[in-house]
Amino acid sequence: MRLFSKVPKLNIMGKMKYGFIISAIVLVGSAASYFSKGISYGIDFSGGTLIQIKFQDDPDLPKIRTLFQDKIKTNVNITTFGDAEGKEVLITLSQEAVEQQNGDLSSFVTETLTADFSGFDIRRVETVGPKVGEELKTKAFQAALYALIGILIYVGFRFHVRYGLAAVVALFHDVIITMGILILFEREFTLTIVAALLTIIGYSLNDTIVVFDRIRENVARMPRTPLLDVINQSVNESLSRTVLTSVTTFIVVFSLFIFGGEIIHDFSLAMLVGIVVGTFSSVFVASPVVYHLNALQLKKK
Amino acid sequence: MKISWKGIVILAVLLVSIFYDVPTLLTFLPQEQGDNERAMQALLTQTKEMIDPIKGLDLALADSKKRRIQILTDGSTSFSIENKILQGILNDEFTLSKEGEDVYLTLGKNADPNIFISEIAGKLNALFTNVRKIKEVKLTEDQSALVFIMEEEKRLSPKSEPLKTVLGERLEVSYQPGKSQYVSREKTRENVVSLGLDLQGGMYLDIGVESEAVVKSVLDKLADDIENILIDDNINYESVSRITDSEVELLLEAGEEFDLFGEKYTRLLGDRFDTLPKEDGFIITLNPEEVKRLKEKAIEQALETIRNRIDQLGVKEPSIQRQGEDSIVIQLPGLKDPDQARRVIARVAVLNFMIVADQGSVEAPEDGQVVLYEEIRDSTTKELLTTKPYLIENKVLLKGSRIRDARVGFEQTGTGAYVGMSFDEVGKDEFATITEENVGRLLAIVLDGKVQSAPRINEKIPGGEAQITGSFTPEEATELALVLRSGALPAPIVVHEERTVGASLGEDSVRKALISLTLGFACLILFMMFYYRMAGIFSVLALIFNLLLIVSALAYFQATLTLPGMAGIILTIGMAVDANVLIFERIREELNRGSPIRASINTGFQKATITILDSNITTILAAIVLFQFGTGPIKGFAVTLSIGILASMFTSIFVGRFLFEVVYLNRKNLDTISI
Repeated sequence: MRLFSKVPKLNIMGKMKYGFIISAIVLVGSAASYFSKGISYGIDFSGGTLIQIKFQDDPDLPKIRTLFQDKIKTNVNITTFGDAEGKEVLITLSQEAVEQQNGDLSSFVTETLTADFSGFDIRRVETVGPKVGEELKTKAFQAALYALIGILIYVGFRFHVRYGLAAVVALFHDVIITMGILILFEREFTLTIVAALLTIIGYSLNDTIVVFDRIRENVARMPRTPLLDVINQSVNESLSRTVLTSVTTFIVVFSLFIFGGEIIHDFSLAMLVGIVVGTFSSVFVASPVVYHLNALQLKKK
Repeated sequence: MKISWKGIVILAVLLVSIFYDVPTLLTFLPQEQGDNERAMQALLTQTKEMIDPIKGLDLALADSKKRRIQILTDGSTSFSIENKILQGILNDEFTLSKEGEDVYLTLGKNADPNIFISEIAGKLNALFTNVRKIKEVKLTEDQSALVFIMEEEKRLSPKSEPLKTVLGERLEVSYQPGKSQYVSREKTRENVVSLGLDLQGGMYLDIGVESEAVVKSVLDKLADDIENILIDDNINYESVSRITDSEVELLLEAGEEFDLFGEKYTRLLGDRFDTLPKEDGFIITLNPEEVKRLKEKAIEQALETIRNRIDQLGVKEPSIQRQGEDSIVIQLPGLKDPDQARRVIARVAVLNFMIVADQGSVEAPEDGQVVLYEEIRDSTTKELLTTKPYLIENKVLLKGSRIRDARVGFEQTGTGAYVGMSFDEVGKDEFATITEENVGRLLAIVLDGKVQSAPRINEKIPGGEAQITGSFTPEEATELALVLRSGALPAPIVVHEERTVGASLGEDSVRKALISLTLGFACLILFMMFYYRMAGIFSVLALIFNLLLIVSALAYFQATLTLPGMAGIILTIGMAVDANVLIFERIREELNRGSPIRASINTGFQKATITILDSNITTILAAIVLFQFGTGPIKGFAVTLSIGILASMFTSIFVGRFLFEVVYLNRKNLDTISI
């Protein structure tokens, strides 16, 4: 079976304007969601405590909220968590609330709930101190920076600086859009999301490099053909592979998203978005940028 | 058929990876309840059978002339030369014989002439004395470890090597100084992928010691000491006090002068402090090396104390490690009561004995007096009812560091529990003196700045025993006794990071990850076989090989599998197919161009290999950065991702090609190919 009976001859590069327009719209949308909602940092970065509780019966959220807010005056974030059963609750306490309780948190939770709820089980407690939160923020930022520099150097060395730049542009594109969509879905920004973003970077780059590799090969094979045509042919030639790999990766991540449980839900969501955006960007962002950078270079001469 | 070296290499890699996979797979098999307990019971019996007969042996006398050793026994036990520990020394070179009541070990005729009888006798003697130090061998309550209880404060001498064969072959041995006992647990199995705390449940704690508090208390004490000398020397001063976290300020009255470098002060200041003159006085600071040393000491002491406390919690494989300059990372897998662990670890537990003042009032404490409070709580709900103030003489008469042991006791009248303590020799004498001098007064027992109880001293207490009463539940009393036994922390601790996962959540996570792995894998197999037919089967074989390789690499490095790590494996499976897709698409392309099958396969592999290398190296770059950056779980993800990518390059390029060779390239007439 084949996706395309023979190598497709789509005029992809001719449509690159539309690609740019789509990208621009989504990028602006992402930026808008970023500026209107802002990143909500998870406790990994903001510090605080997260407590996951499983109730035997359906939990009464407003009641739980009142119980906690009566005890601590600061804001308490309480949401349901997990699958459709909805019997799990996630309580997020701020740094101040943690300090109020002298760190003895799960006994505090138990004390607060015991009177009104009979069967519950504290399944997970995570506490991150303010110092660690700040450290992690810096580290995450550094990690992204180092990854990008490493990629720029490697791609610049293996191909050409133009390609390296184009790849990095595509990566920014992917990361910004993925973040924008996560913010739109009101997902918290946690360590796991950082891991997902870096994986998306690796994955999207993988896609981009495959196309670049073809361009490099074809440029050597057809030195007289205009670059635009070469790029167009290269994208066409690697199109079936690009689509197929995205499909296979999407399949497994989708199974992770559906069956993998709530704890890696955000991770797999980010990955799903990243796979789609990364595939799009390797065709409609990275390759056109190479072409434009090249044109810019020619003009200068 | 000619032997292919590639086939041999691949087979070898396959066998090695299966070899490393098996132990891990075995750990996932359900274990029969009680298996472990039975094994430990057997080990206990075995150990007793080896040790007990030797206990009856007193002395080994060398008789070099007759090349034999006489063994003096207490006559109650009969021992066998086959005893494993003895064999460790005797090496089959000796025979046992009896002459009347006397027992001899005679060196065989053919034995090495370089053996010195006296040396062997010396070794035997060392062994006998060491074995006599062992009071009792038993199992812990949860039957997970052997405990060797020693005679008071005795340790095994490192000279008696043969004992190690008993203690240490299968087991890991650690000494607990506070309890004079050795605990030996089963060694963590080698080459097994262990589950991370997020998958098996447990507690991860990253804590720091507030070592600034130690520095502050050193400065506070210095200020007090200087003040005392100034008073003694009749020097008029304005104030001596700690003004910041790191500075003591000494202000003299105008016109007053004195020599800070005089003998008394230099003795006090030593070279630990730096002084800086200012108008009408001085600023005194601890010098940086001293601060560093104090902090270092504080964290080392905290580490030691916490280790002691956790040992007594009975967690199976605790890991307590120092990380960086000021962090201690504690990992407690399979913990049942995280609240208790948190309380026991974090409690400072500074215990002081002080005397309640007879005169003065709580409202206006005089110099040398301090007001401390007792918290009165409801005995069932534990709600704080009120605090009761005590006016106390600000002088610590006896410290908790003098406690030798602490136990839980129950009051005969009520249901309440108390903690009974016994002091060491010095503490016993001090306690006797204190109680003698203060008969009729109240003795305040102050724990972490709170009055626990203040009983009246009725008479001198010479026995070195004291009790802390209060409305303790048995659990509270147990915890208090535990922390008192293991000593105080040098300063309060701060929690940098805590991640606690219940066992049930861990099980859920493993189950869900396995389900998604299986389903994702199944979908992928169907897709590849449907899309690429025979070549698809090749890729599936390569994929299975890939999985085996990942697990075996993890086992080889004894990696810990976390939930993100499992996500990494699942993700790699998806991406591993990419290499196959690249190759197959290239081969198809070549075929489309009309190249012969054989050439198409070769060119396809050749060209795709470059692309695969380039694209995968970038992903590995990202994984390396992740690893550098990562804390625990993220690191796990980075590791599985990198291993997965490396494994997928090997399987798709190398194994994939081999399968093509076996099935297609070796054919004489290669007319069709299923791809």
